[in-house]
Amino acid sequence: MPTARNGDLALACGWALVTLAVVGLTDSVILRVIVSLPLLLFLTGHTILRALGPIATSLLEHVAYAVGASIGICLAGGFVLNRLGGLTPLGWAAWLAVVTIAAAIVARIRHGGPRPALALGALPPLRRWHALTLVAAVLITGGAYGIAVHAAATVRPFKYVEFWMVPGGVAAPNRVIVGIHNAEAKPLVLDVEVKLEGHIIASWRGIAVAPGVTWARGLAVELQSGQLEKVRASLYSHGGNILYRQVSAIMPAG
Amino acid sequence: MSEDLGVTPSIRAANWPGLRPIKGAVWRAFDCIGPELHGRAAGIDPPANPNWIVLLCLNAAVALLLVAIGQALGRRGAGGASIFFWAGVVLLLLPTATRATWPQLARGERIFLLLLLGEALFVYRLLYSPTSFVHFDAMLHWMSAQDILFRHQLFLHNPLLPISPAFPGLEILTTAFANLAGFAVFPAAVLVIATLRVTFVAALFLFFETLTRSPRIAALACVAYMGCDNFVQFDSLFAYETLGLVFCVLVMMAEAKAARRAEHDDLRVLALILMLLAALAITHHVSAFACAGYLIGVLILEVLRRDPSAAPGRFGLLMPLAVAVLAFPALWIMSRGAPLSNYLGPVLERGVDALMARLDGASNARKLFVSANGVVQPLGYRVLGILWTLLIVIGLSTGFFRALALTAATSERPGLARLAAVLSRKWRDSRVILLTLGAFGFPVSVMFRLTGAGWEIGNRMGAFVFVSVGLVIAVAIVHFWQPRKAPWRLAATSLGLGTILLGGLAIGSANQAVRGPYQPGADAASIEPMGIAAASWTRDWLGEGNRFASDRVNRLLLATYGQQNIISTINAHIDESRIFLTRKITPDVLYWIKRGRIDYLLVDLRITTAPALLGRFYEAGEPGHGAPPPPSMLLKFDKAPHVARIFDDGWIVIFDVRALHADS
Repeated sequence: MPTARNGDLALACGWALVTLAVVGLTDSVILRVIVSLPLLLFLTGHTILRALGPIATSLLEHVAYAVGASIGICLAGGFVLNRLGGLTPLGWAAWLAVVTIAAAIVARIRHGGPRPALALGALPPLRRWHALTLVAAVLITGGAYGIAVHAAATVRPFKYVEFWMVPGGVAAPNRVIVGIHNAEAKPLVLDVEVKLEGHIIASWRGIAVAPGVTWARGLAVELQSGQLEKVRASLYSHGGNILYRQVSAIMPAG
Repeated sequence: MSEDLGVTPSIRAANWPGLRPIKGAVWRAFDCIGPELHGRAAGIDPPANPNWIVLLCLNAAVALLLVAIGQALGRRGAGGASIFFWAGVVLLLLPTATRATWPQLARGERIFLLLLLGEALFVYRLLYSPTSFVHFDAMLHWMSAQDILFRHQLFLHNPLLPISPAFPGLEILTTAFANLAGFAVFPAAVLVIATLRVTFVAALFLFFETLTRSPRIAALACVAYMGCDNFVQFDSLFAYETLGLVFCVLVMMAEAKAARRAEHDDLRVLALILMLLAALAITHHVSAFACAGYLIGVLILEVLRRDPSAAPGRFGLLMPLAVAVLAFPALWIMSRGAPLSNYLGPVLERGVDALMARLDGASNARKLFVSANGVVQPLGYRVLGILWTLLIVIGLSTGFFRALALTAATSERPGLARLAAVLSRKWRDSRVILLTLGAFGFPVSVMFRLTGAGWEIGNRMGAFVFVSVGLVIAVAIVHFWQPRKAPWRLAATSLGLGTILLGGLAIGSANQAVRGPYQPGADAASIEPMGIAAASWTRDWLGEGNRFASDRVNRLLLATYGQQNIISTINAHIDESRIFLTRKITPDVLYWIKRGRIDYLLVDLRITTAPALLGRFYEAGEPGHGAPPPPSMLLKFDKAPHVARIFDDGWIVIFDVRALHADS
């Protein structure tokens, strides 16, 4: 019964083609993880081992070799795809599909006979409370990870306000951009003043910046010719005239 | 079924007249370290017990929950963090390790529990930083992976770790998965490393089981290996050794399995191992060298072996493997022009010099349990560190000759006769002999750790030396410490193994196991959202690829989150400390800025608040050796007419110094 004997090869080929289709057609991360992880880290190696012929004497040994061989194939794919300019999602899916199908064909041709049984040993009987305990263990572990993620996202040792001024660059040599980002826990109302050679050339009063919000404005600067000029910007609390920050930008010679 | 060799001691029957006063002490010492194999055949293993399995799964989950609570409290600087954390760690390690190494247990249950322990320890490490890379080495490799993922090209320059693009194995694997799954490097790396951990533990178990023919010794050896200080931390990071070790153990397992089956000319096995060796050669240099040392060591011992029962064709597989394991890394390094000697050479040279100086008494020992900033580690860490070393030494002392005797090619039972057979080069398995001799690497690694410059070598040796340490300790436990199932012996050895695991975890975390508040100059403990935001700002507002100089921690953030080109000693032979750690803008400062054509300088005023935990803010040997510089030193560029302060968040300031080298 060749079909039954090589069911694993047919499954691997089918899986590789499904992965190719999923990677090409959908952006669903969950679906792509589900199809690509087994192909990348097991199935390609499994078909390579089947093409080589029986090596392992136990299922655990076979799985370990299959993971190793899969990674080996993946690394080889990296060099091939790098040469072809194909280090892209579709490039990877195509590489894995080609290798898996080719190895399956070789395995089918070379080793038509029965392969050694690599069956899972007898599993201990599971009762309902076993299953419930395992589910609880998974949920608790998920909860532990959730606590860690929450702490990483919410604990901020520093509260601060970013203030900057950057020149417009080659595209706009006589412009600067002034910006504020509020990373404090509360909304702020701020004033900004820009000076060139001691003279105020622009100012903004009562800028309301909520937490997490960025405020930025462009400003044209009239330059003196023949020398570099430093434009300075100051950030004050609104009305209180308390200086928070001072930044500057060097403007190219006019 | 377990096959612990049952050998009764006969040495006690010997009679040495005239030495009665010291006879008892000599016997006791000899009995401890001697080669007698006291272990008895374990009999038929019982079937797997699902009650224990599910309860230990639940136990591991609760333990991880306690660890997560401890880490979350630690981030907030709240009290009780250590209590939750260490309670979780003890709960995670002791019950599972004890059950997995119990004298009579189903093989499948042992394997499951070992895999559970390996994965739980990986999740344990993940809880330190669950959503992003923070460890120094991981961030270096993350940069290489980002380049491959977004620029779709291999071998792009990594300014922080120039050797990394020449060994892109882990990055190729991770970015392949990231491409296929459609997500970022970090989640891809988590799933890849989780798979690698399972594979590593499974392969290590099968390797030890093949050598000893005993699932129990294999399980004990695996648990002892997990006591390596690198197992939980360094070797589960997103770094090339994590994958290199997996290939290494797979090669060792495949070769040992083939030798056991007497398939010395099996081309299938040869093809598989050659594939693994080729993958290893492009993944990690040190792992490839370690694997070469192992295979060539086995070959040499096989040549020396005089066992008449040895198969004449046993070199059939070893010879081509020995050639390949030398040729593949050499060819790869030559073809890529990898600057390996520049990378490893100085580390080895400094380490060996420091060790020699230490042995000659010409240099002072490194202060143990004292951080580079002078802070003494907590008492618990110190006690665990000392116990870890002591218990491993006791295990090696009591297991060394027994491990040799275990593989003697003789039917005689007395340990001395078995040892004599080994000394006559009659052994059954050269791998056991090699690994047992390899246990000498542990005291060597400890000696390296006692020196300042050699500490890194001693630390990195651990991952490979512990394969030997694990085997010898396992043999010691089965054939000396637990010859009978006396409850106190089981409890004492379980406690000893648990202490080794705890000690390895504590040493590996270098006093940073519990996440705490921000610390300057502390790598992972210095990485927090404000620094990341500043680095991201550079990418958003200045564009990618600007030439930046900064301190060690912000260099990482600028290169990864900011995608900037970092100018440093490693990348451009520019010593940034000579730019930042001077009181005035001297001609020397201007020289380094011009020579490096540096566009921007990022200063982090937080480093002025406390000494660097790791003893440096910029480079090893910097002025002040990690002492906090005064703020005026870092802000001296404010006064320069052609320097602009373009960014300020109250702590982090960025200076635009492009005008200083505009004409050069």
